[in-house]
Amino acid sequence: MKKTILIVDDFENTRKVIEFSLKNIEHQSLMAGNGKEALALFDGRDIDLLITDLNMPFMDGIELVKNVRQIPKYMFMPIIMLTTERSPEKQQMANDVKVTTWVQKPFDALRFVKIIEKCLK
Amino acid sequence: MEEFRQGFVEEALQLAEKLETILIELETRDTSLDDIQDIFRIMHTLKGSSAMFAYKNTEYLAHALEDVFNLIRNNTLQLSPEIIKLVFSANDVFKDLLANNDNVGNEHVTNYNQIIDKIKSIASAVVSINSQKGTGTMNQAIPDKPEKTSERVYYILFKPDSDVLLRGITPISIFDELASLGQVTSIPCTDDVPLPEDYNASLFYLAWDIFIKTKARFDELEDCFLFYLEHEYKILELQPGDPTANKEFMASCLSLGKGNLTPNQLILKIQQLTGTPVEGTLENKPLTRNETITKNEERRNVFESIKVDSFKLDELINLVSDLVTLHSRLDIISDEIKHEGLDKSLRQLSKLSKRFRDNALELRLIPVKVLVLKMQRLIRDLSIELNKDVEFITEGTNTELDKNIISRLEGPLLHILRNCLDHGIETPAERIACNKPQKGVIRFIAFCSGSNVYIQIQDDGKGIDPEAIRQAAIEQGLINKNEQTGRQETINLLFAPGFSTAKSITNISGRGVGLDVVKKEITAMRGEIDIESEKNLGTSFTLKLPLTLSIIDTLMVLVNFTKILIPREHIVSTEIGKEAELTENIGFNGRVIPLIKLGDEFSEGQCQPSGQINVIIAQYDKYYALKVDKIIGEHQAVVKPLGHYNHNHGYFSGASILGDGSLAFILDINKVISNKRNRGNIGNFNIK
Repeated sequence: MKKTILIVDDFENTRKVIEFSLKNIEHQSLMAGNGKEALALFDGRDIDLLITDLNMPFMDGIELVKNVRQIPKYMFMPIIMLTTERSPEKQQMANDVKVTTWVQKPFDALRFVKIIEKCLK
Repeated sequence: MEEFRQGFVEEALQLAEKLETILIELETRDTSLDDIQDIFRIMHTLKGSSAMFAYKNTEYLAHALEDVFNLIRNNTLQLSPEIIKLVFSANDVFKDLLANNDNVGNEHVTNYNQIIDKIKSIASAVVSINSQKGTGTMNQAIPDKPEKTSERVYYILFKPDSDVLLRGITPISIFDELASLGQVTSIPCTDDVPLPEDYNASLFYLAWDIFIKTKARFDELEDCFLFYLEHEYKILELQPGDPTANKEFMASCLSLGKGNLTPNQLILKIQQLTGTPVEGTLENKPLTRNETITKNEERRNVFESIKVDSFKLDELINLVSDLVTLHSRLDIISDEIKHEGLDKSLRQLSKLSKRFRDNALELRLIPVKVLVLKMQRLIRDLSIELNKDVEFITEGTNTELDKNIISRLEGPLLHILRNCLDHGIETPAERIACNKPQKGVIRFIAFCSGSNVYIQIQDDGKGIDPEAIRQAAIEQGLINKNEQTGRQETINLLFAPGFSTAKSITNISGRGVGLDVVKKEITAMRGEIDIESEKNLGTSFTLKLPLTLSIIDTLMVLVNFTKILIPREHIVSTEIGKEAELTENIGFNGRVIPLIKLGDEFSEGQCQPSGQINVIIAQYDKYYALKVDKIIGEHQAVVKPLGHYNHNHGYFSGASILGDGSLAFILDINKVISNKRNRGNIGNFNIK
């Protein structure tokens, strides 16, 4: 079955780059420009992977993950935090709200795809 | 997606360029492991990114080369001049492919296939030799030590945190991954599993001791644990030998990890159990995760420098500028207060900020070497196209210049080179007829002197014939037939707008963009350009460039009660003027030089100057005197652009904020002189 991947980033270009790097993975993607928009999409539909930026307007990545994890359906969903943020504190915060892994931007496309495939297994 | 493709092509071309630099260096010096690593990495990246953009041919070629360099990296293959040559031609193919959407043009197909074949044959030759070697040792039945690539046994303690499922991870899948790498033996530990009434299905209670026999490297194993936190797993490499074969050992393993031992305790424990020392004892414990990370980081530091967004550097320079401005403001205040302690601290601050400034400016300096590659390429290609035999010699390519200047310099330099090749260097036949060596020489020389960098491009071609230039200039109406011009003046006519001697417009130069554009670009950077030429001996272009564009040392003077900054690099000396008000020229060192009265220039002669100091400046070896009212002192000017509206101002190149917050304009010597000359007040040359 086709996997559904939700890509959240406040820059359209970044979303496009991510989407583009997924082109060899059979999937359908959803897009959102910030945490608030993204959270609205967790309405019970099947989402197999969430790729989210950290620093975004309205609702940041940490807050988004925190909220999503509270919805039983998405409790065990893999979440990739894809960000330019480097601070260990933020990383700790991300771990605390239980992201699956943390990928530093700019990302190596091949490795990124590998990680995604790992998540979708 | 077009924009990403563009980005990829750009990045890939940069890689190709980097490769070319390494290769050119390799031809002149011994190879080091770093070079091999670098080339390998370039190929690897190229392979990866071209695969992503479905550049099949590029990927295929990069892959083949990656294989070759992997062999070299492992010391299985020696880097030979043939291989370097091959990579050179492969690099050209890369550039072709990248420029043509991965299409191998019809004319290149054989070339492409040949290169691929050659690369393949190199790689396969080595492999076959190795396999022969392998059978050889088998026949001789020498009991040898296990090779580096042979299987090793690793011990992995794997104890995910209880919330691992909630992080979206399925721990069991690790076994599939490990099994794909080698033979796995695992012992589960169920000690933490609670009684059914306390069992929470969303938590995870298991842990494992895992032994894996694999050819995989340490980092490949580590990759499997990508999603796990540092404390959730430990990987240790065991001494050669397979403890899993020992049943007794396996039985005793049930009391192993459980996740509450430190790495050192673990090592001890395994030692006790296996009776063989684990690689990495308490003294040198290179196997804990932290250690590997620092090691990797060290390695990275050795190989690469940091790449900084040039925008960030600009920002840093801006901050430094503000600091310099603030500092001069403090100086003014301290002058008023006259406090000894403050004075002393300020002097220290002054030293510090000066060093800070120099350091920050230095960050933007890059060696002119980066230009050389493009030039080499241009000369190589053009000399083939024009059937000329040319050697390109570079000197002082480590000389550094501001990045902004370097990027603006590329066009002018390439233009000059085209001129040298097209008009300067003769064909081999012509050269032999002139008793010159068949091979022409173009020299690129860069050196630093004071706060300027000089770049010379010399050729040993036919030189410039002043008479021909004079004739052409008369024909094009640039000078009057009766006008007398000195030899150097005539040659300088080459810089006149619209001047061209090219009788037939060749493909290479003479497209209507002449040396005047080159000169304009150079002067826009506060630089100067000069030509020297001797018929039949050659031509030499000399570019004088400032080290940096953003902060300059100036002399602050007063003209009509306005503060003006004169860049110090132009100033020769200052003197008290004795001449009467009306003189147009003054004597200086035995010459007569033009006197430019700045006060009159700025106010069209309506203001009476109150003092008479002459600042002697030099431009292109010619001297001029600027009459100013008063000299205030030295000033470190942070150059701020004048902005859109004042862009075409007749006298100034920029402005600088002074310590008291007011503005002072920076005099543009070139503009002042050419303004004056255009009004006919200055002769074209100095009278000696």
